[in-house]
Amino acid sequence: MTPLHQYLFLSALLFGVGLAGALTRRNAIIVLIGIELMLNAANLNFIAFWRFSRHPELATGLMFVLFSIGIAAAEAAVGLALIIAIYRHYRTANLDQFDSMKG
Amino acid sequence: MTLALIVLLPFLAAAGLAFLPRTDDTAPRTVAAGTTFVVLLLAVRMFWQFDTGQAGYQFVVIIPGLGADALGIQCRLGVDGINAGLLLMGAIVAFAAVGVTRDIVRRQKEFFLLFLVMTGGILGAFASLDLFYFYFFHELALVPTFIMIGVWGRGEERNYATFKITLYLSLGALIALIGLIALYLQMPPDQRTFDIPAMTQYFAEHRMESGAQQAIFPALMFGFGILVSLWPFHTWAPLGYGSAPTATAMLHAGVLKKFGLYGLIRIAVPLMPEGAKQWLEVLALLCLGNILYCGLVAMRQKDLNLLIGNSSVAHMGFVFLGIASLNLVGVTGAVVIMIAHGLLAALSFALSGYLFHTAQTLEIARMGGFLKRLPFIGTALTMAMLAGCGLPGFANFVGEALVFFGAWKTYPAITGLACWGALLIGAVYMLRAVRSILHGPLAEHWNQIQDVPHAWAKLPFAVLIFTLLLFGFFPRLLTEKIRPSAEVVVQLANREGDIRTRGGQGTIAAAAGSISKSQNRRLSVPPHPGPLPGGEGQGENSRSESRASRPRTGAPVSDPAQTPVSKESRRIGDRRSEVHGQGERTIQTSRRVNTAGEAAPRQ
Amino acid sequence: MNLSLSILEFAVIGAGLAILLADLWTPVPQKRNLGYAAAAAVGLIFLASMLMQAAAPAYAFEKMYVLDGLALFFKRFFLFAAVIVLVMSVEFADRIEAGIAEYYALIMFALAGMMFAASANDFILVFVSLELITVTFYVLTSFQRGRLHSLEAGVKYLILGALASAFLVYGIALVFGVANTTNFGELMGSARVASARPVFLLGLLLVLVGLGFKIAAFPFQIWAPDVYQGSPAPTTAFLAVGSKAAGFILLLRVLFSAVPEITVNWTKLLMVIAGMTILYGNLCAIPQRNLKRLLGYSSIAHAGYMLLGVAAMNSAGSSAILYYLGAYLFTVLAAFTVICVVMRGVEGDDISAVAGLHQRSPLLAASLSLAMVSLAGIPPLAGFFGKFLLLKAVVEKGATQPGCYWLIAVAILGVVISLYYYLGVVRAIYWSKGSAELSDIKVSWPIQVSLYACIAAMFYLGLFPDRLVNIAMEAVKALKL
Repeated sequence: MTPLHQYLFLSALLFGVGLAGALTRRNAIIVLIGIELMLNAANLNFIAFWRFSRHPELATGLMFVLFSIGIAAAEAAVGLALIIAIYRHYRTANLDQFDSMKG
Repeated sequence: MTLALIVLLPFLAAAGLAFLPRTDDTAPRTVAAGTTFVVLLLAVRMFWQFDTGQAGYQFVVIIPGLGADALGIQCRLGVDGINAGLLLMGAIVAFAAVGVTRDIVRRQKEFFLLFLVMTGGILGAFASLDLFYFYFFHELALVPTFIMIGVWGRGEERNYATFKITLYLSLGALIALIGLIALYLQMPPDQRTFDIPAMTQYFAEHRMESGAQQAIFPALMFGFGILVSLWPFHTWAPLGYGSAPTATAMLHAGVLKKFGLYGLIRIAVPLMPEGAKQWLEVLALLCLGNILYCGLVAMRQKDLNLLIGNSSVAHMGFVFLGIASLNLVGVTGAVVIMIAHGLLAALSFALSGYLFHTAQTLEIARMGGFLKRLPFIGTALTMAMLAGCGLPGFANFVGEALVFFGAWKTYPAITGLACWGALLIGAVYMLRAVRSILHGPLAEHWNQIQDVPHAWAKLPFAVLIFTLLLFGFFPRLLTEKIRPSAEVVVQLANREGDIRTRGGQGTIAAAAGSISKSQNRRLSVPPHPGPLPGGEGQGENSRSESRASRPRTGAPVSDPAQTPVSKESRRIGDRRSEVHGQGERTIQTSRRVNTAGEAAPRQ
Repeated sequence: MNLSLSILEFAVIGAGLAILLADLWTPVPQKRNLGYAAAAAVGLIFLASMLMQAAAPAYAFEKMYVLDGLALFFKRFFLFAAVIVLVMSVEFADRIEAGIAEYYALIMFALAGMMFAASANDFILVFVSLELITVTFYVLTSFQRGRLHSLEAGVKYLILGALASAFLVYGIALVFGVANTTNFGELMGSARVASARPVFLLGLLLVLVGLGFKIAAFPFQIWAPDVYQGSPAPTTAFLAVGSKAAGFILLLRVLFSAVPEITVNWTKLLMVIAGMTILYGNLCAIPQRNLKRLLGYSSIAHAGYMLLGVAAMNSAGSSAILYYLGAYLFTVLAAFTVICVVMRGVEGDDISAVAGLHQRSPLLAASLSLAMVSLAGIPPLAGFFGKFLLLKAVVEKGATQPGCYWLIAVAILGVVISLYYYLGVVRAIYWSKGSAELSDIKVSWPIQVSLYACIAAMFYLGLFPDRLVNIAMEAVKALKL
């Protein structure tokens, strides 16, 4: 069986990739994808920790992941709707151009 | 009840004004005048019924509901010798200020509402026996001042002035607040209270750590100092007063500014004697900045209002000096100056307000020969200026003389310089202003200026001058009341050496005890001048202690009531020597009281 | 399982669903009045909450949910806030093109999220309730779909909010990995062992990032000014009051209920965050001309003041936070209610729009001035007593932690700076030139009632603080301080 630390390493990598994407890319959709990657990294962590824990019969980790997936879906739905709405105004999804408010 | 009414009436009137229609032009002024008049009457009655010769608090009353019991906050009011005169002065100034609001023609309802809130705040701050409410009431005046200067102020710079005064004052107040909170936290958790007498007693019995005293005292000293325009934090004062409407300047310069001084005398000095010893030397040096630097600045002023503002800053130096002297004469003198200067500053600003109203300018160079057209105002201005120079006959002289004699022992060099500053610099700018405004040729275009039209309009000026002269000729009206309370303050402040010796602590506890005992005696009953049957034993005991202390030191001389100072027919020279003698002997008194106190527990 | 404990939340959700349903049968012109129905329903639930008692903590959902004094305090807080916000929304209804009933319902769902957050005793509930609040607010901020600012605020809140949730979830995962539990009660038992593990500390730090975002603490405050400025006024008000308070209750629970042993080592970190938040908020607020943006920066500063109470790490500090939030609630709601009424048809929410307000409507002028004065912390209003309690708590801490004196100096500096811009608004109301519009403003009676209620509460809390102080001190007994 794959040892725990490999899962953790993969998940940290995933989190790093997602964070890098969210911080460096300017396209709102890509940024959202990056954030989803980060969320999934956390989910992977949860599953791994749950699987390797001393009490896997307590389904805490599993439960959290279910909630997390559901919420991430809701977030993505609202997020995409928003991005579409603002795209209609600006004709772009570039975050740098959403700068009408300053101060 | 009297005190509660004095403090609450202005707020109730302000709340009532809030519900008046906006268009009503006469009612707000009438309400304000009526309220301040009633407050004045109550204050005079309180002053009259005040049981002279007692150190404890009188007229103690608790306003129920206000405060937080869980934190030991309770709105308790009371007066002793130190704040009785201040309250009376505040009430007089407030009444006079309503009388000179001719320049307020727009938005009267708002003005008088704010004015009443400010008045109530000032009186509450002086009457408060609770540290929290002491601060709370003072801060109530902050926003009204801000709006009053902004809306009804004059001059191009009033925006800048009103922000400057507000920010400076709140900075000072916040620094002081931290000091006050730290003071509160010096007590053990189960005994914490904001009650000033209880705190005084606690710290008289339990020595506060030196480190804490050294840290908290400067916070209070500079915090309060900023509020009193201690040099070099004084720049807000002349500018702010120059831009403020007359009534606001009178209340602020006359009464509100004394709050910081009162805080020093009431809280900082008696509670932290070691800190005081260390830091009051700094204060004594800084006060020279007030007296000399601001005096010189005042000399250079071309605008009458700025001149008065700077001179009022300079006068604060004397009070600082009196407090720094830490002896009975000096502290008594400081309190007398606080009262006298309050009246004087109010009078000066009222006069300059009138001049501005009639001449539309305050530039000294442009005025001249006004005495011909304005006999009443001119006379009053001359009197105010002479009072500002410290001419005998006015209350200011009494205070300044006491301060100088008190401070001479401790700081001879500083006192010498301060005397010089007071006599010379003060006289130069005051008399120069009188000369160029009132005398000389009257220019053609000044023919339209008019003197005060009728007797009613003269009343505010007359009341202020009358009080100044009254306390000038009969200083014992004040000093007799102040002395016992100031004695307690001085004893507490000088206890540092005593703590090492065995007996000293008993004395202080007895001194502080006499505060709380007489206060307890007063607590359950309405204000009453005489001794009461209930709790007689305690009250008698504390009084017999102080009586016992007197004969040993040759009491008659230490009692200003019986000195000939008050006889107006004396020549100045005589008077000086006598006040001096009194000063020296009273210092001895305060030292010997300790020995008397040692004997006290045996009684 | 004891469902009856969370009856208030279910009632709110039910009412929200009922509003959504009622929307189907309500004729279009009447739709805006559904807000009054919603406000009445929430008001009733608020009154019902007054009947509830929480002498001893009671648990539900496998101890995920706790009902104690602290939870009840915050539930009442959120319910009251929602009533005023709903009344405000009715006033705002004509500026929302479509779906006003959904707007009301979303406010109620966010309210339910906040109420669940008040009772969170498990990281799962922390996450779910926080997301319920945040996702609802994505929609609420961008509800004026025709206005660019509103959409932009929504996108900014979405990106940064989602990022913060990602940190939060990852942090919770790490904490779970080490401690093998997400329940606060169990965590407290295992925290002493787990605190030696750096992964556990990293997880907690990431959780703090997520919560710091909610309360707009430095350095996670960048979203606040833009979102405050762009959102519809009722949303901003609810964001300022409800969302921030939810962040604080969660912060208090996590720090002082889940891992109190670790928190004590973080005093310095919290002090630095508090100081920086105060300075940042106040300094940036100085040049602002947009009233909502100004309040956005000021809300950052206020988060900093409240963090003083967290950094004080004593029950005085935590109860001071509760008091401060109570004061902040009425003050901010009054301010935003006035903004909501005055800024009708004003582009840019510029401060000059309140010029001459004292002539146009004395009630609005007085409310806004009093709100500013209370925010500035001047007696006799509620804000003063809140600041007094916070400063007292920090000075008390100073005896053991000398660094606190620097923090106090920063706080004083912040308060003085804040006076400058708050009084700038007062100045604009009473004596600024160049107000073009001088017609009287009509104020509807529900708005009048809520303004009078806020003013009365500001005075009451400032003059008679005893009651709320006692309630707050009682409530924080639920925390392990």
